[in-house]
Amino acid sequence: MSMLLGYFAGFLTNVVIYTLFVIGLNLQFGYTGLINFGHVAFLAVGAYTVAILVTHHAPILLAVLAGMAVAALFSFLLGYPALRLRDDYLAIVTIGFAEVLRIWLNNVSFTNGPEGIGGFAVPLSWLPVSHDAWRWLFLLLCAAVTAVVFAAVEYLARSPWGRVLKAIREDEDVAVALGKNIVSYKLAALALGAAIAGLAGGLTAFFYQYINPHNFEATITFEAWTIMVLGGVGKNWGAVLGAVIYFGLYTITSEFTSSPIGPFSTDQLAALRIVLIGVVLILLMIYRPQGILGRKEDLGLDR
Amino acid sequence: MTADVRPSAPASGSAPGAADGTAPAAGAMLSVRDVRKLFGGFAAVDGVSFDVHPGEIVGLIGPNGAGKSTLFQVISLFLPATSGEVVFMGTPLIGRPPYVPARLGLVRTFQITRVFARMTVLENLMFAAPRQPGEHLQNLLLQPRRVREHEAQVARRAEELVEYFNLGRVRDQYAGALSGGQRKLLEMARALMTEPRMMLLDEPMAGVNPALKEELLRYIRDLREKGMTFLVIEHDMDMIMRICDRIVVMANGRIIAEGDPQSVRENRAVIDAYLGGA
Repeated sequence: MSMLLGYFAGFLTNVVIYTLFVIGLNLQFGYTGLINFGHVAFLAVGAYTVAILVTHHAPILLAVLAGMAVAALFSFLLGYPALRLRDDYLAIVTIGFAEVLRIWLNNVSFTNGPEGIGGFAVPLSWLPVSHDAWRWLFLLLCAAVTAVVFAAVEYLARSPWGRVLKAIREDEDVAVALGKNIVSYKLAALALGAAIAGLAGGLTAFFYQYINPHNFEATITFEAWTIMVLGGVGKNWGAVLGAVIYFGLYTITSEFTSSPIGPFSTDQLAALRIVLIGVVLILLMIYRPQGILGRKEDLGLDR
Repeated sequence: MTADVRPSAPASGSAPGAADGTAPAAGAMLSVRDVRKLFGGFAAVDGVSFDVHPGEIVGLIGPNGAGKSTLFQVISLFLPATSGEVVFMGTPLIGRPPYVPARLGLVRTFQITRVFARMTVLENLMFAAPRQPGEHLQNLLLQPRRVREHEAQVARRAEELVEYFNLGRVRDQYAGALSGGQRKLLEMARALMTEPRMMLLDEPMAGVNPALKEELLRYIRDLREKGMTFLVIEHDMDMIMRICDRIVVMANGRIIAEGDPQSVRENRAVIDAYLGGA
């Protein structure tokens, strides 16, 4: 029973961290229309910054803030040249950066290369509680952090600042013609989204308590996109719902792959499971293309 | 080459008592000075100079390929000029970023109506208000009250324009759900939100039905009564002849005539250009 509960805490923590990660992506794409296909890079930057700093006995809070800052800095360096071009270039630059970063992390010594980093201090470890209880407390911490970020992003999205982001998403030229310096807004949205991903990366490092470059494959970026589209682009609640559904499907189906069923071996079942998830997503896109929380009008509008 | 057919007496278009009491200024509001725009070796705009005075409605016409649209893009800073200068109310514009003109009071519209489809009518308008403290993150954090107060002001101004342009019934609808006519009106209202002194209209009558055309003409006239200045590119000759105080005619990248509608209509060079003469 307690093992199952611990497992459930892990499932929820994963959902919460991904929600946070997707909130960052949604700020960039959902609100501002920036196509970031390398979001996982900012997760990795956050995670590695935290792991390295904490290993060197930096205070945890400081390390997490540094992880956010470094992620934002990297996004700024990428965005500054790319955002002056059309948005498609940002997609190419970000996906390239994410791959280069992962391969680099795998080949330099200060990250321990493929062996990764582990054994660093984690938050709340001073509490005299069992490991399972710690997992629940850590879940609460992640949920609290995510709730604060969620509220802050909602506040920004409803502000005049958020209105500029939406206008940029709808038609950059018109936004410029009406007197807005859009490059600075795009950079800010990109950097804030990256900082949020960096925060999610810090939490990921504490959650796994051991990280290596394999944790930051490109598929993570596309899982985030899937979750965002599932829940409804441009809706922060969509990130929550999308993460619950995506990992719900993922976890439930994993129950059926532990032993052979009928003519299928466990390997075949594992492959079928991915197919099944794909089919469910395709069906959802056919019958509810705007995502679960999206409005039908969000799709059918011509400019 | 330039045939100045402008009558020696002041044109009918000196500001007819602008509502804010601005006297017909001696200086031009917009001054285009020897602007050239080359694409490779081809001069799309080949040394164009003209002025627009406060309170005037000036039409920019010419056959297809005359360089009107290119000139329009250069004036609004959406295309860099090869040489020449554009001065708006004393400020040289060439070389500055394209968001500058609107901040100085010179706002443009687009030939094909472009609204922010997935934003409401009211949001479309409120976005365009100038100098909003809430557009800066530090103010959202440090001065939320100032942001709120300014936002209420912006909302009031947007509501006024919604009323003026009869968009009250659709104020909370997505702009993408509006009819073509409503979009035209919204685009004009949104440009007005920037508090302009002068509007650059790019073919405002393109694809507009006769009833809406009359409505737009009424709005343009009414705004001029209130002190607005206009430079209008238009293919619709009827509209140009009815509303413009002065017309600048371009062909092959140059100005071939300039004057009041009557004199331009009778100008030999203009007739030749439109009928396919050299």
